[in-house]
Amino acid sequence: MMLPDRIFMRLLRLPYVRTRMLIMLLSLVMFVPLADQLLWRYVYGFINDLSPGTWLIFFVWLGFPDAFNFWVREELAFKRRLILCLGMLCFYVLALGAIPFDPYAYGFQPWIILFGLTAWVAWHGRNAAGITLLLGIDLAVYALHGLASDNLWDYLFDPVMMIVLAISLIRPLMSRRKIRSQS
Amino acid sequence: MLKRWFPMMVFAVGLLAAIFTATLPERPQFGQPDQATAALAATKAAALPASFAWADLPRPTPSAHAATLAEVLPGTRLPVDRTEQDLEPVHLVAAWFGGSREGAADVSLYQADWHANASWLPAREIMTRQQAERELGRNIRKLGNPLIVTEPGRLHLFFVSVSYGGWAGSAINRSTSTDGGKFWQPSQRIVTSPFFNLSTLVRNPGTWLSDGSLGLPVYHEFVTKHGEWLRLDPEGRVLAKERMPMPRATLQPAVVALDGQNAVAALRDAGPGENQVQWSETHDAGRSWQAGSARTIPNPNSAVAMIGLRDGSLLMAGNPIGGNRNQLSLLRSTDQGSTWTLVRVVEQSPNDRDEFSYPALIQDRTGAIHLVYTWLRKGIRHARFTQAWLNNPGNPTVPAVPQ
Repeated sequence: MMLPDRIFMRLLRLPYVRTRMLIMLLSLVMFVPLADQLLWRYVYGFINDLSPGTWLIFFVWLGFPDAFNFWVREELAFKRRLILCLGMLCFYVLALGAIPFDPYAYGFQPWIILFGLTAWVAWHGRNAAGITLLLGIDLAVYALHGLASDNLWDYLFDPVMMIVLAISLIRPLMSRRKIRSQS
Repeated sequence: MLKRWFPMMVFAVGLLAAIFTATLPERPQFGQPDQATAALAATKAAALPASFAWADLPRPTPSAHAATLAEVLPGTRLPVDRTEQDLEPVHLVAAWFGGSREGAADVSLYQADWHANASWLPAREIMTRQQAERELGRNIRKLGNPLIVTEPGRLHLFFVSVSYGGWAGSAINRSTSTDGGKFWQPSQRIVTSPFFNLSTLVRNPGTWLSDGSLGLPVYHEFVTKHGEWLRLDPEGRVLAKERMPMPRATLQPAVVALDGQNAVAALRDAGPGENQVQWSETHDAGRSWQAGSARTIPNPNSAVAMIGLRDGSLLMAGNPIGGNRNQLSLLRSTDQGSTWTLVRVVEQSPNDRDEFSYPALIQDRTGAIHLVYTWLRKGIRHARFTQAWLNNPGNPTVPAVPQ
């Protein structure tokens, strides 16, 4: 008969179990009281509401990598991730006032954005089922007014998503650099 | 098959729902009283004799700053000539932030009430940092500028809070009261910036639009400093946002609507070098703003307040001296802000370190003008005067500064 500690050690060797335990641990840490309130409130004070897309990324990336396997068979290509990340960076730079043009203002009456998303999905939606699904969820949450924001942009992406994308670019960039230096 | 088309179906449902709920507000137009009402209000204001009086608001804390002032209006829109309304004494509410010093963790928002022919009632703490943390569900490091905006039967309290960093990390929050400021509803955060909702602050009152929405001048301090214009629906949802592009760093726009489509904004000059009151204009009720040439009024990087008086002139309060805030004056323009004349010095001190700043102006329904301002950072002072007092600048009143 296998002892419980051995079962535990065997389970711990499974990568998904390890990841999920890490998530549980991190989640519990968020409820640790610090000064007069929970740690979560300090984190929330900084990051504010996360977009539905970021929650899904965390969901898939940290614990349930197979959840959307039917529609997403491979991760987003490096170039597309790079373009998305740079696009978000440009958006934030403009929204913070680099020039008089403010793209964020278009999210309060988002007709142009809705038209653009529809056109993109009509053109490319079948080949990018994962992103189409994500956009559909974003729009549904926007319609339900699921976040504090009244701006559609805040439902499509957020700075945390940009940071996650940037982190995901580091390893491919490093390996490309290594290959170049070897050749 | 169904599974393959599932993403498209989700997108279609999401899109339809978004189309049904996305805002499509009316073309904006500034709310203006009808001609007869405006004429009657102008006559009443002009008939008030010249007078000036000042009083100190209660001082519950060692430091106080950034006062706002609003008149509590009855619940229904009554014509300005109604006798019953005249018989009710004017009720003003002022709010400011106070504590041991600006930015300290013990800073709270305070409110005091004033009824005509009476003194200020004791101050009440209406928002503490801990209360804001509870209501907003996040840590709050400090509280900042409050702003009360009035409409018949309801007061709106906007206030600045910071979770991390300095004032550039501010966000604005909103609460309402339907009983003249006795009880404030739990506050809610307004999201105005995509980058961690950083850096939107409020200072000067807004302008009601004809569809019941509120045009609210705000400003941004992170990376760049500029004025912004928010359009909020009656429940505080953001309908639109516009920047006030300026060639220099500017803060704290004070906006006055001239008619249904035109409005002017005076802005604090936060740029380097010689500072002057900056100017911006809209000709489409806030849908776009154009930079005007700076007014030849010195501005030592300090807040200005501006209102339109019943006689059609504009009244501005500020510190029109270079470098310091030790003189608070009133300036008037009879040509919609093109030229300004200094009409009264409200308070001044020979000591450069003294501060009479952050003015807030209103003209109540009887025509009396009220000014509140930060007095030496120790308290808030209230000056009450009439148009006739402004028209006769022969004997400027300068209250002595107690040592």
